[in-house]
Amino acid sequence: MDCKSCTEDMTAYLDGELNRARFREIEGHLEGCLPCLEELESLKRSGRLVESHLPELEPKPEIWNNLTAKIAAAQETKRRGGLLSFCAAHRWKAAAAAIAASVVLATGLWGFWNHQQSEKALRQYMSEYIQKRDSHIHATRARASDARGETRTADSDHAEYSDNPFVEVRAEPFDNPFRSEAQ
Amino acid sequence: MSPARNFHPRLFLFAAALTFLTLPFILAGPEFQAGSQPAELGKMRSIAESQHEIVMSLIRKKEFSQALSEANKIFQLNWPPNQEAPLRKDLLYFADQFLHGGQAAIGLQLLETNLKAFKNNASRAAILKEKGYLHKNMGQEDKAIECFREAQRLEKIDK
Repeated sequence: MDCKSCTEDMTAYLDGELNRARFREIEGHLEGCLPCLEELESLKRSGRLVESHLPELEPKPEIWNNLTAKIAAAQETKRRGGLLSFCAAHRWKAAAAAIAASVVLATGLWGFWNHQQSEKALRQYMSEYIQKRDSHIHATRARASDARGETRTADSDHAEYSDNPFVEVRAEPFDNPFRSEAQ
Repeated sequence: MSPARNFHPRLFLFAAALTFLTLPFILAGPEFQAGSQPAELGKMRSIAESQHEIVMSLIRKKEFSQALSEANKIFQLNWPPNQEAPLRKDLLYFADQFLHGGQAAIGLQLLETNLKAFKNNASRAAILKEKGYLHKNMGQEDKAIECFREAQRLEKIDK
């Protein structure tokens, strides 16, 4: 073994990363080569120096924040690039996915619209009946008021009862349904 | 006399006898088809007529709880299906009378109790609409909407 080869693997030798045969070769060379032994001692000293100053080399929090932000940005770029590259590589799959998404969206919108329409129809159905019943109640009260001999004003007559369909329909007082049909 | 010449008078006699025997049932019409005898139905209608007058009298006297109890008796009778129309008319009329008397809750109770006596979709829809109206009058908007929704569904089935 020559000195150059020994120096190249010296750091690995110190870190215990070499296999058994290589380790013995370097060990044998170091026993007979003073410059390489000095080089080894120098490396050891450097290592100890770094270890002794390690607390001073602790990175500041700002550095970690910057690093984290850069990593996140890099990942985002990679993700976007990934989706675009997936679309470019699998055009048919991307098109099918887009169509499926459109169908789902359209179905959802149609369902929502349909629900809105049916609710609107229900409200109308409800308000028609309520209006009909309210006008019937007004008419019944008016008849009761007339029966008691109270006088209503012309304005209230016109405003409330002129278009009431029940005034004509139920002009006759309600009779017992069983009696009327039996006769 | 040959058998061929005797056939027609015998057939005529048989048809006449058959008609005579089935005539009462044909004339009874729907009441017979519904499974109630006319006499029994007449009795039920007479009871209902009296009950109606009793209920109206109690409402006029503002004895609403008693009126509700008496009204329920009308609908608890074993009515044939073809009597739904007068029953429905009476039920809605009573509910209206309770509402006029400021007793919407009792009217509602009357409708809820007797809805099950009605099998026809149109009748059930009419009762449910009135029920919804009473709920609305009592400020129960959600229950009113549910009643109207069900009534609308029943009417759609009939269409």
